[in-house]
Amino acid sequence: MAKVTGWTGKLLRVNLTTGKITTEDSMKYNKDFIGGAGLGYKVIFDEVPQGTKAFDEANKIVFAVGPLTGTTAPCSGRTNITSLGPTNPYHAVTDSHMGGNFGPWLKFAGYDAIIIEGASKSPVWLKIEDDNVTIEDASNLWGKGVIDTTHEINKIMGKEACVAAIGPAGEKMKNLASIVNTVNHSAGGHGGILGAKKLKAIGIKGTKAVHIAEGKAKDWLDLNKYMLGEIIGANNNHVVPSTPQSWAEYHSKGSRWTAQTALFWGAANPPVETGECPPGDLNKVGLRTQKAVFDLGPVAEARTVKMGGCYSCPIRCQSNLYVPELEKYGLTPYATSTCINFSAPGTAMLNGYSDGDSKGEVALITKCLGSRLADDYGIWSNYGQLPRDFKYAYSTGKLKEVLPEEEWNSIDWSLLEKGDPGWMLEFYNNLIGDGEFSHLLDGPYYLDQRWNLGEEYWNGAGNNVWSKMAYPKHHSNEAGAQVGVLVNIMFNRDANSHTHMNFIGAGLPIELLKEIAGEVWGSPDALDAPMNYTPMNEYKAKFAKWSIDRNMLHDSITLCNWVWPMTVSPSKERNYRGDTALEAKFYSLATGIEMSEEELDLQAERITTLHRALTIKNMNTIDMRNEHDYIPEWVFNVDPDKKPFTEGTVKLDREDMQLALTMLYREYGWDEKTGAPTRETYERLGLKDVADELEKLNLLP
Amino acid sequence: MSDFDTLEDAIEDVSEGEAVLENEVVLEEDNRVEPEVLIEEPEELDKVALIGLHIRESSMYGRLNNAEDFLDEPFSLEVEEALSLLEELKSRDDFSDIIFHKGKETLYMYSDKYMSNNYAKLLILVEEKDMFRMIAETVRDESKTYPRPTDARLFTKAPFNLTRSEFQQVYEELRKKEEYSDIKEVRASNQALYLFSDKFMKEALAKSLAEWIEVEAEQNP
Ligand code: SF4
Repeated sequence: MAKVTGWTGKLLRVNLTTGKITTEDSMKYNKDFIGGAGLGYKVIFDEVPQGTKAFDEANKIVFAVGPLTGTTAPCSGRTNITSLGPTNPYHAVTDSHMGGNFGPWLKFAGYDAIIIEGASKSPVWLKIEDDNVTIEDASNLWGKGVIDTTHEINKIMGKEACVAAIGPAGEKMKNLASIVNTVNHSAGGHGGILGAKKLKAIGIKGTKAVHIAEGKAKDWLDLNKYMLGEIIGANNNHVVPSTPQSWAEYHSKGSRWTAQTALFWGAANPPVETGECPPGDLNKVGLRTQKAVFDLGPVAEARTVKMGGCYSCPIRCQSNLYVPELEKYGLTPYATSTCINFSAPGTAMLNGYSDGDSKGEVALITKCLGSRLADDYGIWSNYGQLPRDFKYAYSTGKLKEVLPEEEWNSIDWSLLEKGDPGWMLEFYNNLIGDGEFSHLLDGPYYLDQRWNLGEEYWNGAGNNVWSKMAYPKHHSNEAGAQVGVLVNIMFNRDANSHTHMNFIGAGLPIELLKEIAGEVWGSPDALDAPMNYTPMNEYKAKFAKWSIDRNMLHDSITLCNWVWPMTVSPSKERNYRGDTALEAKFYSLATGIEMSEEELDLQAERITTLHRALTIKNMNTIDMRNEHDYIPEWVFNVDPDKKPFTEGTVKLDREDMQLALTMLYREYGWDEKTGAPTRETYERLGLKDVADELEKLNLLP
Repeated sequence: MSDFDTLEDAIEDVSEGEAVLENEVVLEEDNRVEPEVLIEEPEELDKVALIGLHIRESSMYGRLNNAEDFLDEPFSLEVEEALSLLEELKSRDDFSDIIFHKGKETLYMYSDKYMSNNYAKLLILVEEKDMFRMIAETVRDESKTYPRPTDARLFTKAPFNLTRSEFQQVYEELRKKEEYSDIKEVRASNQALYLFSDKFMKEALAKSLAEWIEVEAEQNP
């Protein structure tokens, strides 16, 4: 048999009930499902009985990576975690994703995946050192935060080990709990499952290489050089700078390509100027995204030590900051985070900040403090829905109504009123406490069941909850009209799919984007100008399908979907065209299996369809159109004085969205009435066994 | 980039007979960047070529040239000679990247290899010191091309570099002028001022886009 490259060819199965640890051939999954999410779905579909709940012993949790993880493919350091989702009303399958080093370390130890099953009676942690895998006692770690847990395990395994851990939120089986590696790379939503299994942490150290196909080293280097030199942009693959620059035809204030003359990593010694970073200069790709300033405003410049990020990522979207004010709150003077982890704590400051400046020093200290606490306690913001839920409950008086008087009086509300950063300690400490306040970590569906939040909670625009599935919107109707909505209905948590948004937000003029849309999805009509929408058409359905499938591909192969795919580039010489075949090119060179773009997209479609099958099995209904793909009222009610398809609104039309669902189902070959895949489609995609199983459960259309 | 920090270095080097304008720095094989060659045939260096090189270098650093630049050092040309050399430069195939733009009072030049046409257009608007046109043309371009309303703070940043009060003054005047009556304003909910041209964009669209850029995008990272 040919040597397996790209993958390791082996997975680890750890049964916490019996203590049994075994290895298996992972290629039985990888060949058809690539790895990562694809592998995870297959394991959960095959092995977790219908009706199982997220925290049941029978649930399993799969940490899985793909053939590119641990290689030097750009942005390939991410890890996919698959399990039943505790926030979902049906506990249907979800993924959580973390960057950092965990995935590559798993490969270096020789594994493509870890399947955790059963549940331990007492707290344990999993120690992986190449072939030496042991279950260790964690009673002295239980109760500790992520940071202390990580330090303790690093003391045992050495600082080169990568540790993924849960904090108190996970231990207490909160629905909004995360798993965090390297103290600040968090994956949201599955922390409570590790808590239920009493698995506090996983430490990994490996000494093995990740091989690429024999004789392909030069091709690999050339491909990397081509991608870094001509194709890649900044974070979110924004391909124009945020300010006018002499080399650039275009600029966009919202671009994450913030590098510019006289903008620094100001706390570096000596300070590093980001400068202009035009395409072609490989060594400047890593300076393009000064994300601290993008996330926190100009005050962050002087505090930026450097931009950090995941293994093998040239984009570096993680801000590493020096914030000595944190010492006042008992923390070290550093903060490392990005994106929603900074903005979510800010949303919980309902009265703003004491200095009245949402981009000032107090805001920066508050957001750094909040993100540090969230990571240490292992709390997931649910893409910012957690602080929005707090805001809703507080401002409607519901919180006061449901909190026992003693608990309400024990909270120092003056900190919130004054806009004091200390509110973060109050907020997060109460979330991991045992009071009623902590039920904010139940997530929208279960919180509503407990607190009866009312119609307005679900239907009001601005609250952003995606009913009935009870997750927040994530680049939906504001992101490509029907395309964004279709992407949002497909998952069982907020859509962590950036494929469509990266393209829409790239910063290029609409005519150029429409031209490219025409080349990729068949017609420029696939894309509307922002907030100037047109009715549904089949090209939008193709765009939506492609976005979903590429997201599935990235979570399986693994590549960072906050940068990939390369639909556009910053290169004027290429007329801003990207290269959508790059995933297939890297896959082929890593695995030695020649794979065209179309063939790899078909694999991704198989994974999407398997995800759909698993959702059908979890929900025990084929009526996806009405029970799962439900579109919240606010999509149709926003801007009451405006009509759909008029300039300046993201409002959509009910009938048009039903047509959009039909067109998407048609693209996938799913039953147009129910939105469930047909046997024919399952078989076309090599999923006959899945169809057979669903037939037994009476779940085929 | 060339090994030479300045055009003067290049000239000096050429005069000493070491004519290869290539990057000699040995980089790791993986990191090797294609060396840039400012000119293909160094022996052809004459005054026309030196002018062409000078323009390229200026563009590389984000600066425009105008015809008067060559009357000063290091060229110190007479007006007639400068004009005839520039005329010859226009016809040189090896300098086809040099773009000439006739302004109100002078001739502007840049290399489109090193400076984008759009950026050169902004610089010309700045150089011409017609602040009304500078603001209006920029706003019209953005409303038409992207399309998006223009954040008024853009004009306080490079390459415009107006102070806030200068902008305020110019903008107040501009609003009174008939020829710029298409330039309209909208405010996002945080009161940030955005401008748009109603020749290319309706107010409703401008307003919702301003709100998205200014407020909502940050809430949906
Ligand atoms: S872009 Fe950011 S999240 Fe993605 S791989 Fe790079 S550092 Fe990680």
